[in-house]
Amino acid sequence: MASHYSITDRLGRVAVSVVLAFTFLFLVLPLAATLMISFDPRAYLAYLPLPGFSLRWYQSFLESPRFMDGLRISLLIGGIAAMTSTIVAIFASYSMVRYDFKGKETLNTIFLSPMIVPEVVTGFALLGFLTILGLRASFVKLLIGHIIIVLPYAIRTVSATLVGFDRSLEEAALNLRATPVQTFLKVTLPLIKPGVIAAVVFAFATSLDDVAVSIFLVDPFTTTLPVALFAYMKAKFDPTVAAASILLTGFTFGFILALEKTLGLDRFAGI
Amino acid sequence: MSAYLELVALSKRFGSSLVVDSVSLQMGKGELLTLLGPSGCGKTTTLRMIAGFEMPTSGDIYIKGERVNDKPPYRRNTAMVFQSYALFPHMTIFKNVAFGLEMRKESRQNIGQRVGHALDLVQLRGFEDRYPRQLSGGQQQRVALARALAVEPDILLLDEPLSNIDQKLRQQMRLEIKAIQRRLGITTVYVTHDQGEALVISDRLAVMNKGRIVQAGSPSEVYESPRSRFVADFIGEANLITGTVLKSNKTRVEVGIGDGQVVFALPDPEKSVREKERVLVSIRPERIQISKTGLGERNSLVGTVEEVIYIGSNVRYHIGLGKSIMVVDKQVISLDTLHQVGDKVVVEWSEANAILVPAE
Amino acid sequence: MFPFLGALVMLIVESFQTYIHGGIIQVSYSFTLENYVTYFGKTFVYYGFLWDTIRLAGIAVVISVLMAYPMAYKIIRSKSKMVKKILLTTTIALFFVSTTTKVYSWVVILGDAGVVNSIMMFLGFHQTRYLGSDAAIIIGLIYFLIPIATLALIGPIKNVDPLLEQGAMNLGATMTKTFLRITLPLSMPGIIASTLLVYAIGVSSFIIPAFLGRGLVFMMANVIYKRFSETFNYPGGAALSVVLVGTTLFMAYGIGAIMMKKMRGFR
Repeated sequence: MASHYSITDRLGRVAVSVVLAFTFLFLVLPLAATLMISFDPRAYLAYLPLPGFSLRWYQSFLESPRFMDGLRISLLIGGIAAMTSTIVAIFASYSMVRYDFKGKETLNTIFLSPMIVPEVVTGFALLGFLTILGLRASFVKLLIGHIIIVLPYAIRTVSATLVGFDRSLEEAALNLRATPVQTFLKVTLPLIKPGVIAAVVFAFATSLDDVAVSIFLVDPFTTTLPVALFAYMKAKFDPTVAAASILLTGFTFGFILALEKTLGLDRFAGI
Repeated sequence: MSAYLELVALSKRFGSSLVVDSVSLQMGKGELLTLLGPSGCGKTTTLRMIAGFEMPTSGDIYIKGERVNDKPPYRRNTAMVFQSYALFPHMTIFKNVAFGLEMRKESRQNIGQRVGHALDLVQLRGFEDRYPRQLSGGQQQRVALARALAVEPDILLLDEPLSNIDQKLRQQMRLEIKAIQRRLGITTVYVTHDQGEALVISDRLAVMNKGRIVQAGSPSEVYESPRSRFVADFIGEANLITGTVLKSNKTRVEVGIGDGQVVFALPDPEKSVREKERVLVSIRPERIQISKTGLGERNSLVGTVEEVIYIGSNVRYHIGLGKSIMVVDKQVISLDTLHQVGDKVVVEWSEANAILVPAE
Repeated sequence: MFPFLGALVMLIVESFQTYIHGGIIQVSYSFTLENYVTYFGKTFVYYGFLWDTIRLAGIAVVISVLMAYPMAYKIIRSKSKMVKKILLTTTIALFFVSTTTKVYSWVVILGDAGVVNSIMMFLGFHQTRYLGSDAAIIIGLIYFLIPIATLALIGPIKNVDPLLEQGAMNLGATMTKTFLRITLPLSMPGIIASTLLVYAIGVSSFIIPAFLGRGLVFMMANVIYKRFSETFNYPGGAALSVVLVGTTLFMAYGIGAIMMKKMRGFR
């Protein structure tokens, strides 16, 4: 930098670069640590460096019925919850972005409130409530719980796409004799498709991650993968969890790719 | 005389496109130079390089003889008025105008005085405690100007300041800006795509296209003697007739324009033309006479009125001359003297008004 | 949404119920404050948990926002497309990485046989117990919150017109001054909103303190779960939940209102 820049500026720039570099490394390195440990041939967490390379933990994870069952349930619940919440989100967002009605603000707050309530509280409350209602099936309880927590994210994502939507396109369609339903299906929906896909991805990822709500709603026969891992981690800390983590992170790359190819990471972030 | 502002072979490349291509110019103190051109011609980028917001890819910028390429924006004594005004929304008008002075660590008393003075110049005294959002577009623009003037910069930079303002107000404000500039004697670079504006306010103007300066000079020079088809077309309007040089001497050039017809034009003192060379003859629409029988000029062609476009103060005729159309602008003296569609007319002009422009 | 609201209402009601041993959830219609009293009247232990929760989350949030701001700023203003892309992709990727993975990573790093300890032993120092400390939880929280904070800050920073920054520099403000006088004040409302959001998330965290606290340090979410899974005292858990949500809302609104008052002026 030329010497004409002020001292505070030069120092400031260096300081910011340092913080930025530190933050970046801080974010990335821990995952590298997990990656490394997942290949540890030893039977328990021991000092580094690794004495060898082994895939035993991946094997252990993939062969464990408990984890695989949990994975199956997680994927199922995640899929259904993502789809359902996105469909609800489309309707909810559409009415809230387009129309003004009494109680809109309140309704909006209600829909988004699960974000502010601690997940533990949500799970705990649902457990009581659903039990009183006589609901026993764990799968259904989990489904309800997950839909509740992912819905706010789905709504926010779809709303963001709708807000920037050019109304005159719909008006043109209506002007050309399309009914409101046809307009919605043929004009609106295809154009908000990126946002809808992003909402599904977002909802699915959130559902896959959840522990605090699920932990209240599982039963000995039905559990989700994160809860299974949680239970496992309470007893042992072996690298099975590391292997599971790395595999789950593979999903994450899938999410990123899906987002980039449809909505675009920039738009997803609001840029 | 050493130049107040000098750009030497200034270039700027963004990725693979060369946005500013070896631009050189010199300005004297107190001059108002306009960079005029269509969008994308590089005029705003050049301005931003002078301000220091873009680093030149090559070339140098000298302000008052000092090379400023390496100086950050806040070390150059330039002040910019942005197209979108860029007023700080969280500060009052007073604080906005005072900002530059605060950065220069002026005393409170001094600041108060100079802010008042600047607001006087733009006739906004009394607005000190308002916020930008409470002002109209025109008023906001004046505040932006006051903010730039308050710091008494070496160079004032205006980036299409009047683009967001409506027609009538624009015409008034451009005169106000010129008056202030002249009164303060401040060296100013003005960027616009509006050639009418450029002609009104500039001491000198530089026409830019595709990153280069294609012609520079005083407004009348550029208007009367365009040296390229682009300039002839961009500034004002021009009828361009293609032809081939038949004969040329020091006083007159004879150009054959097909069908045995011949017109005459003034030779370019800087460039002589040879026989058989293809040229364009440029005549401004308002410099053409139109009549039923002709008035005896050497340059005269016969044609038919194809369209009459009435604009209130003026009328525009499209005259069909065989293959081409000639555009003629005339003042409306009274409605019954207008020609009608279908009339046979004679269009004529004097040699002095026909300029040779290289055919590209 | 109705199950959610219904559940919340029920929760509040339950918190006033008497605890009946043996039954998990009773629909009785008593009204008592004994749950609240037990936890917040008789002993101070639970005040301690509440305070720990607020304190740890608070520290983590402040540091996270401070670290996230430069990231968000660069994502929006960097002149290099590559830098923007790398930072944004990393942020969003980490946003989606499962919390369990994040917690485990720090267990690997801070554990008794973890990365840090391995390096320490190699250099000749003693093995130290890092997990189970306030610091471990704070680090875990920061790791979890930075991506969220970064994404939340993108909006406010983007809303500051870059021309305003250029205008300030043109008038003589150094980059530092421009940031302090223009960028920061204009993005402040958004920063505050983001901070409160991140705080609400931080205060609710469950897995992170569960494993990084090693049973020695608890946050309210853990307390609620632990109490319930040990004693099946639903009303008790309900009372704790109400207190947690109540304090969070109270703090969020309180701080928000104070800040908004201070910023009264250009909104």
